[in-house]
Amino acid sequence: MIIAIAAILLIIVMSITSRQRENISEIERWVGNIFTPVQKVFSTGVTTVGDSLSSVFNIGKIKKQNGDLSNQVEELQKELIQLRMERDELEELRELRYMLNVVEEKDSFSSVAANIIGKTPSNWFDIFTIDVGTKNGVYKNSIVLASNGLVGRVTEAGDNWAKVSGIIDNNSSVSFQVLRDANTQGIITGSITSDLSGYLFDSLAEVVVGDKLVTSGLGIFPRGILIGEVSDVARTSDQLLRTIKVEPAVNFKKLSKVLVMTPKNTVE
Amino acid sequence: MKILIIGIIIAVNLILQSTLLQYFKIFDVLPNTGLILVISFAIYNGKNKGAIIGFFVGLLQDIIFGRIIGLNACVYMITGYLVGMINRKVFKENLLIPFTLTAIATVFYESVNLLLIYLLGYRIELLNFFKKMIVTEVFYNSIVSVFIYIYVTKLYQSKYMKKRYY
Repeated sequence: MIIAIAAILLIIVMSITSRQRENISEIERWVGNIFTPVQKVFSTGVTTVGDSLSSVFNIGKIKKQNGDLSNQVEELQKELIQLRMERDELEELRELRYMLNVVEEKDSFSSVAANIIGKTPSNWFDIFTIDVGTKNGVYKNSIVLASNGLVGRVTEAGDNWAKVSGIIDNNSSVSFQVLRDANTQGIITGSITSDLSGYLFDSLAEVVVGDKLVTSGLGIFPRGILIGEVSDVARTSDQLLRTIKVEPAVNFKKLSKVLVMTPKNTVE
Repeated sequence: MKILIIGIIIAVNLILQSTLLQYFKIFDVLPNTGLILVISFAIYNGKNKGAIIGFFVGLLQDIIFGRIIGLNACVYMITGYLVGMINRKVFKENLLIPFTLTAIATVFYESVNLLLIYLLGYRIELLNFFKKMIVTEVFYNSIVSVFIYIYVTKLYQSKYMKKRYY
């Protein structure tokens, strides 16, 4: 009997908290403040041991990777020279634009580095906690990046901790554009198996495997952050939508450090 | 004393789950040691305490990692209550008990989870649900549960849990 009442009460709490909330409650804040420091100590130890163990086991792999990387450096250096030349051209164009008084859209962000201190034990969502919070200028809907791409956004922020929901999460959607052609846009969503899949707005648009996707600037993510690479293109059976599978640029399994960016105008 | 020990175990379990156990994922599935602890404690404590323990395990998980407060608390509480109901009817030394109970409870837990998540308007994928939750997680949980159950049994035979000054 008591159980039934308690269950009904909990369902009411659920329906309240499942909506978008501006702030977290006092209780959550305190439990988080007590728990996260302990968790941080633990996760630092575990990551250190885990990383050193895995590097011992993967020495062969690392050597091969080293070779690959030095090849890549050579290629990139060639590319760099070309890009430098293009940059000069771009600067000229910017100056021209300035002369024509075009209003610049400029988002300014304050950024702070953070460690991941725990990942969710639930198999349903992809949520993790980081060791920065409102005291470090991180708020709800701050953007979380790794060195090579988009990770997700902050869903709740406590004093010195915050919950981040990844883009591979079941409930996340990100609007993207194809890097090579800014007019080809669409939406990708995560799933419980941590795959990214999505569709294009224009079913006739040309997308091939290997295309790089970046954020399009619709929604809370600013324009131009790398999301990942298209790994599969298919059509739905009714030929109306073109669906794609995406390999995220960030390796979510080995993620341990992230960069959190907060738009400056939202900070109170 | 008893409450303190169980509380510490619950807290340490959540920390381990979020850090160390992340390295032991099989097919991207984490063993739900929280659920196994609730089942083991419920077998020894009966339905009412089982429900209370389940409630706190779930609530803690919800606050630290959840998106919806109350989801896990509700499911763990019901699971603890139902498992606790058979408390007096089983031989507690038999290791098949935690194995089968965990298998059944995992299916139950994930089904209620699925229902609640669906009702709250989240997207669900049935095929992936069966692959990930029903097949992989049930096996993984059941096997891990045997080891945890052995330790919980030892704990209940030790002198700390017999003294009742709380």
